[in-house]
Amino acid sequence: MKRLAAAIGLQLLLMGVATAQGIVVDTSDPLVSINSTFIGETITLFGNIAPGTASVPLDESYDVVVLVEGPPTDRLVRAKERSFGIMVDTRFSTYRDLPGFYAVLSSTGPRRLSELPHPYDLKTGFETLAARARLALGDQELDVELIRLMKQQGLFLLDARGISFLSPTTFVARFPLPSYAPSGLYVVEALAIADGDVVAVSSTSFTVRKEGSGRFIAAIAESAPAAYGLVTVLMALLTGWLGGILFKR
Amino acid sequence: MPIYLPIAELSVDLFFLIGIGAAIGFISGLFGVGGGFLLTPLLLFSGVPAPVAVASVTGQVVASSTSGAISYIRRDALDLKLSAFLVAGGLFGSLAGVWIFGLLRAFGQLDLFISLGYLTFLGAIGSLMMVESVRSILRSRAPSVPAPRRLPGQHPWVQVLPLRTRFRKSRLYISVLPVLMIGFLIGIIGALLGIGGGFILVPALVYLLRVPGNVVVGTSLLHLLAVMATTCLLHAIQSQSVDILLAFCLMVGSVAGAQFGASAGQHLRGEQLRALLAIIVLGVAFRFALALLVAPQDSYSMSAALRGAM
Repeated sequence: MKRLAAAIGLQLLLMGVATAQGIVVDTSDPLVSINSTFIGETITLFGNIAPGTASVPLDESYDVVVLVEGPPTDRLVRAKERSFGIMVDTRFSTYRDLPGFYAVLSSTGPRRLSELPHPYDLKTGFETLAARARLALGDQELDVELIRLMKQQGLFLLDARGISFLSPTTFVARFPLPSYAPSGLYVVEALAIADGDVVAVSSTSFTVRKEGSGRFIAAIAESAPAAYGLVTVLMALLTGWLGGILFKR
Repeated sequence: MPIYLPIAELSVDLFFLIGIGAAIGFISGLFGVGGGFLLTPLLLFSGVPAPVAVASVTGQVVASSTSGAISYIRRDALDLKLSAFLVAGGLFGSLAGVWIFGLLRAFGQLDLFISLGYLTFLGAIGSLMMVESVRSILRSRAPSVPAPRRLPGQHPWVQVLPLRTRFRKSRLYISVLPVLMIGFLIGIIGALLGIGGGFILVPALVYLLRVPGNVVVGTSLLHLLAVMATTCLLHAIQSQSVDILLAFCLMVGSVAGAQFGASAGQHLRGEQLRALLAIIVLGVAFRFALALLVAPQDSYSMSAALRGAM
């Protein structure tokens, strides 16, 4: 109930802004926290199209495409093959600054997604992302596997029916954010499409942040590794010593 | 209850971690071994990335050998001078091991090396232990045959080496070179595979150097403690893959489990215990062999790439 109220409130707010841009999109949750019990979450985006403003024509049925791009990550894909009788990683491909999360959501159905005008046709395919991130020494054949593995972990997501219209101009997009999702800034881009053309573009963003002790520990391990190591060793000595006393027979 | 491991970057059930810690602790108490050689594989098989598993288990080994080492020091049942030389070798071994670890990781062959390393070590040691314990079980069932006693004495090559010194506590007058060498090798293996190496060090001290039984366990424990503490520190600095939360859960489980294992061990005979341990060791070796020989369902894998590598 609270969620619905928030959504309606957001809608009213968006209606006002939409008049300037033609389309507007926003998230119900600008900050997503990954804590020690994070098992993934469904992110909901609300948006509104304002016919007659920007270049949005009146009296059309609209389609919407939403692109969500997470912070860059570096990935290594390896292929195992039999060599001297044992399974060995024989081929590698490194990808630098690959979006750690990338979702393509649309209301168009799968067929019309690739017919979008340039450069939006490229943005809706994962192949371009993989090819752009691959380092020079990488193996192009592994791009397909990278995309498959990213999809398998829910980090690349294509949902051609991931957006539904609540009214002819109001839409809602939902997508799952898996627990492996990297922390950082997520940029959302919403495209209003009328008669195969992109007529309005708008963007927003949300932040995924590691919360609590986990974030603190990871930060210390990176910024003060010697102190972190010393603390680990001291903790081990203390645990061992205490254990010896507590369980003394 | 899932718990998020910040360095391994995955959620694992808290009770699963404490549970395997306790199971390994029980086994280590039962057999008087460190348990790192079982714990690291278990973590690998449950999806913890290899660098994190190896580096974090070094912390667990420190905890599990602390209380033992303290009690041996109290009873004065160790050779401090021998320990010092072993540790000196071990520190260099640890440095070398962590360096090789970084190289292998940069070239993307760390996982393969760890699998092959475990297969070789566990396979060889498991087989040796199996043969030895089956022989002694058979011998005890046929009491008429007297067990052949090996004469005390060192291997000839140990005696001809220079730099001999006197280890009063062990009643030995030997060269320091083999002592340093043994410490060095165990240090390398410990850093690379995430094992204390007690189950290699004790036989090496007994059979190669003829260190007497009353000081060998204490001496080896002190070596493990010092070298693994250093290795843990080096891993934290160099590869930054020590997961303090993972290590802590494992420590708590194993420290508690060890006490129960030790009391359970009193009801089993020595050779039966060794046969049992041999079966476990061979089982783990077999699991590594399977992973190396059988083509995986998905022959492609993806991991986080390291900056600066390649």
